[in-house]
Amino acid sequence: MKTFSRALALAFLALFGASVAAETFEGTLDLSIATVAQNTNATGYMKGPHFKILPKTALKMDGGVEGYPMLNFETLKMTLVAPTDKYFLDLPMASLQTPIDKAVVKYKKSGKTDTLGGHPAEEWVLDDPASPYSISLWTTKDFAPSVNFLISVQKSVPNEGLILGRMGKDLVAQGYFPIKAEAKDAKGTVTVAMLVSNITPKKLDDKEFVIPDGFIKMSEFLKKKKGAKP
Amino acid sequence: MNRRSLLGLLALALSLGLAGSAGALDAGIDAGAQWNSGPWPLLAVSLGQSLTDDVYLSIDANESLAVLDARATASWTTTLATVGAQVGWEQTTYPAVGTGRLDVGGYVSASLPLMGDLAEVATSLQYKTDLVGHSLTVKISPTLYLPLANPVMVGLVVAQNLVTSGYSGTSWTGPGALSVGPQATISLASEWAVSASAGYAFDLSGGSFLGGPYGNAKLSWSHGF
Repeated sequence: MKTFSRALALAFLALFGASVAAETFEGTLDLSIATVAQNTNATGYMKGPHFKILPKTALKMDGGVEGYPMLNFETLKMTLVAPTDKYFLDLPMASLQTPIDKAVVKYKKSGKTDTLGGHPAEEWVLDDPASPYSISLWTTKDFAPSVNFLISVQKSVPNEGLILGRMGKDLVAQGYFPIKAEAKDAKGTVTVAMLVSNITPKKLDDKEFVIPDGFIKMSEFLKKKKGAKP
Repeated sequence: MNRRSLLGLLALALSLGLAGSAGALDAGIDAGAQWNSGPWPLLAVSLGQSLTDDVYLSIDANESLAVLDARATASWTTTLATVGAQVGWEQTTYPAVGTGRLDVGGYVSASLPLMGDLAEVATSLQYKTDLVGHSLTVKISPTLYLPLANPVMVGLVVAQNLVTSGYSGTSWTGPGALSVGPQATISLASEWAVSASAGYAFDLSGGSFLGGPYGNAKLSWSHGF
């Protein structure tokens, strides 16, 4: 029962912010996310309101379904695609977007800078002494992303994820590209670690974000198996 | 009310189905167990073929609850609903071979997606007549689809036989029959699935039909060609 639910969780990691910078990033990136629940390595395809995540290793296991998520933030719809069984499932994203929109998070630049993956980066940290969490988020200005792929870390770690998601929303809207994030709980345990690498600008075909021909809805797939009649 | 005693029964159901996009051919086998208010065998066979993306033809034979129901269906699916026309034959098979009846009818079914496509409420209205009497049944099925490693559909079926007037068929859902119960299907692998349903049938009319608890489970295999 892990496989496609993992795809679901990964998809929620990529809900968009509202970046409409003049020249937003279009291309691919490598995404590594480790939480207390799972580790995932994937390639992200970003173009305008579209974001597709192709897992490299994590989403095929237990003899289960192999799948990947595609996000469309014009329609606020996420589509999970299962190539093995040739079905897809559309899901709304508002349940994660709304908490992020309502969250009030205070943060600031720590003053630390570094070079990450060849890109100049600066660190943002949570500025809330009352919070039990410690949050670090590194961003670069080399690219202006169109997506906030931090927004749904809350699926795996609700509290830290919500903070990171809100920080991501604000910073992506300002043209910052998140490339590294880390959250620790009150005990100092790292609960989320994210790293973006190999950020590669390039033109992507719109077909990258289209459901392949012949795929049917998950409901139809299951009804077909069940032999449903009126 | 002619309530039969409860009795568990293990039965084997076989079905062969053809479905999919136009020109594609799928075949399947179902094997399962059925439990109901009588020692009724269960055997099902179906054949079908998509003529276009929207038009589907099928022939189904379902031996269940002492009734053999053979039915040919032509259905047309639009963006709003599916409309089907059917010709069927019902034959009693237990305890002895009884009478058979030819009937004709049709149905309209539609579903309302919820939460994206994660859930839906499906409804259908089915009518049939054997030129002596007629039957009208409405069914409502709220269903949730779970995108797990092995995807699952879970739902509740509420079926109400609205009218049965002089209908000479042998269906266990007689006049006034209301059946309510959960159902679930789990996709085990790309070609395999298990499904189960259970519930209770009520006799709202006070008439005579085989009401009471029911349940079944089956293992399905399907393959595309």
